[in-house]
Amino acid sequence: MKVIQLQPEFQPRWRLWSAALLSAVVGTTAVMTLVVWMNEAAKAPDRQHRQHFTPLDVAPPKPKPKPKPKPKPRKRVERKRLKPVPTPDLGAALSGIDFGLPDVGLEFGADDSLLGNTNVDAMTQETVDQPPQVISTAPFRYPPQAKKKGIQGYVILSLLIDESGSVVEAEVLESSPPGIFDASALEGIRRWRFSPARYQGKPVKTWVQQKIVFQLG
Amino acid sequence: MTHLLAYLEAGGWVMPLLGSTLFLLWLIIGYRFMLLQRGTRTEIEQLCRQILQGKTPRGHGILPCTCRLAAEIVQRDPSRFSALDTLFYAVRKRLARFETTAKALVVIAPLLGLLGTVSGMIETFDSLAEMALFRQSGGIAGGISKALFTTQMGLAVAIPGYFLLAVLQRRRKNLESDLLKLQDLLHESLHENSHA
Repeated sequence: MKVIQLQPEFQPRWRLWSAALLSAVVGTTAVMTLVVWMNEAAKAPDRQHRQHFTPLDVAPPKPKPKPKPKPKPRKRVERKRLKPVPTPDLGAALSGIDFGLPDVGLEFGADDSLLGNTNVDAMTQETVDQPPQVISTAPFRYPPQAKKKGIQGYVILSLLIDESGSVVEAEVLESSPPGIFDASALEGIRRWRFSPARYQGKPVKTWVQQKIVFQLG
Repeated sequence: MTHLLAYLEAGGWVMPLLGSTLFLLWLIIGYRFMLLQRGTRTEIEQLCRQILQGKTPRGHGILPCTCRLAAEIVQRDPSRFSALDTLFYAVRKRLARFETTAKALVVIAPLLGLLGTVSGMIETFDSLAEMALFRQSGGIAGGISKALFTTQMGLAVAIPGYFLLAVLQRRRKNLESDLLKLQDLLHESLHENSHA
């Protein structure tokens, strides 16, 4: 007895597959053409534009925009008129962090701890009437390895100076070369004494920036 | 042609996926169009009579082939209903070949487009955050054109495929009902013959 063909073939195999291939080629081409035609009609992406810009982008002057805004707020300190009271929490703490961090608008208000010490009731260098002055300095320990190699550089610190004039907190905003002088700068700045900043005659907590240059000889 | 290449490049890594989806989809569409040929214009009743008389229609297509196989079974042993049922079951199963795959491809294409959109938008926001508006790889303009182009491509793949699949599905249903009718008629007449 003959077993029934369980997978009946209605068409020869080659016919099925050649039809399939033909339709695949034709269909793909048709859809692609349609898409290209649609975009040409709409003139969507301007390819010439992009080609013009490409050579410029090979060496983007990335670090440039960063240091530029820095000198600006310092100049404003010299204005003698009464400044408006800043919003107590967020603004002060944020300007303490100042330009050290790249701006990414993330998770605002989700959690206070994300923004660091938001609750510190401090003002900034720009908003006080009289910025803090250095009273006494202390020498910094020059990192021995850097000394051996003859490396020089600087560290810009963000300091929170309290009403008595001592450094409560210190963070590294920027350092060059990165990482080498950070520790000794943070360690040494604690021993400095400042005169407290004054706002409307009263001493206040303030965030200030201090640049420390490490030079040999 | 150069335009096409430029667009493909603009779409990013989703484009090869979308392209192969497109190709596969049309491969299946062609295959199924070929597969779902009725093969003859003869009425079902007449086909049934022809099977019983052993005069089956020639040619390719579903109905002639099924008729030939059925006639073989009937001539061997007119009372073997189970063999007939097996045959019709196998034929109906064959009709649905690749249908699920094609449906899946049609569904996947717009989703792939969406994926490309999302990655394009991520690129855009990245370059916004880094303030690098023009870069070698993308930048804002690149990200947005990637986002839009992949969506467009996904839809362009899916829409014609959707329509053609609907046509093919209706065709399969018609053929299935034809086959059911033929099966019924055969059973009926074979029963009559065996009782007579």
